[in-house]
Amino acid sequence: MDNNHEATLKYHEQEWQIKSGMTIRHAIEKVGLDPQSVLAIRGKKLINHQTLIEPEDEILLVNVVSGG
Amino acid sequence: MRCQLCGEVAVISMPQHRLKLCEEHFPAWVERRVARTIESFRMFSPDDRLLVAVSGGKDSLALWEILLRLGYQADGVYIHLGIDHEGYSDRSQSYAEAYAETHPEATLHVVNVRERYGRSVPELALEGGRKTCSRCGMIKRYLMNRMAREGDYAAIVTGHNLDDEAAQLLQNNLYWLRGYLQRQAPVLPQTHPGLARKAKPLCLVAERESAAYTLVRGIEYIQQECPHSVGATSIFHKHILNDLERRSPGTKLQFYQGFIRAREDGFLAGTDETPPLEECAQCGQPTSANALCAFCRMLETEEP
Ligand code: SF4
Ligand SMILES: [Zn+2]
Ligand SMILES: [Zn+2]
Repeated sequence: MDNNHEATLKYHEQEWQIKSGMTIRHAIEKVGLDPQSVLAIRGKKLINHQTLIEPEDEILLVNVVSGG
Repeated sequence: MRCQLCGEVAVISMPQHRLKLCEEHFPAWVERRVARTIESFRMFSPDDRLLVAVSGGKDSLALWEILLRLGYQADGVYIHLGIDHEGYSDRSQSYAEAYAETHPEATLHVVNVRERYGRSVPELALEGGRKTCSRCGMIKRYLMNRMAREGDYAAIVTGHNLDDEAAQLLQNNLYWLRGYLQRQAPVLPQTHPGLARKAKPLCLVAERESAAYTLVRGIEYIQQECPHSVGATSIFHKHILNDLERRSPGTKLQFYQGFIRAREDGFLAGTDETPPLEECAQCGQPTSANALCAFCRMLETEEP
């Protein structure tokens, strides 16, 4: 299998391999998260949800909904 | 997606404001919004010394940063609650301290509940047979007010954001908690010489904007949640409001601002049920209880 086009999406302890070429928003929905509740970071930089995922990207999702 | 002000790549889209901004214009926009909020609700003036309730989380550190950038005199207070699960309290304290170290113009006060009173907040709650969060809330309010009094601060400022306020408002409305509705406001004036004014300068900043702000400004904060917040009703209510927001951007803002306007127009007049305040015989803090305040009563009855 050719993994070159895959990117990694991380959220807390979870990790998913996703296809490049789709938007961050699409990827967030695909793994079952709510785009309203997370922000995406690539290389320490905040990136908008319309950003297209590039091959070998490592994208970190940060939860924004806190309680208490 | 491009910044509407300069055409650079946008870092965030805010459909409720019909606005997309880059990493330079977004934080500046947040700072201006907070400056306007402070002025329009007459929260405090540049002469006032402020005490920021710092938890080490995104909102309180964002608030501290914004206040300092706007030129306010803002010190912080961190209350170590003694929550040891995965080192939560120690870790959040280190984020608060790391921030303070890079801002020598501001002082961080640390109050360690276990060191000062012999047991942690969860232990105090257990001894008194109370829910941890309700005890925790009372203890934090007490200690913050005491710090404000002792340090002669004009106001306590907290990092409550729009989502916190909207979720609280939903909760208060669902159960028609009249006293809470009466007291839910962007700024609570001093009602007694011993009770500090309280203000929430981030009340019109959405939670995702506040998180985005800390990320863009490069502020490190604790992402781990307090273990006691798992399953909190407020989180559930926030998700409900986010659902509404997705369908109809601006709902949260409208809900909260509509309430504030109604409040200012006197819609809630006559429902204030706050009893007159006396001074606690032990510590002197204002209290509605007889003789001892809730905090001193807790210490009295729950000796280690
Ligand atoms: S979640 Fe509960 S215990 Fe934890 S800090 Fe908030 S009020 Fe305190
Ligand atoms: Zn711009
Ligand atoms: Zn007392």
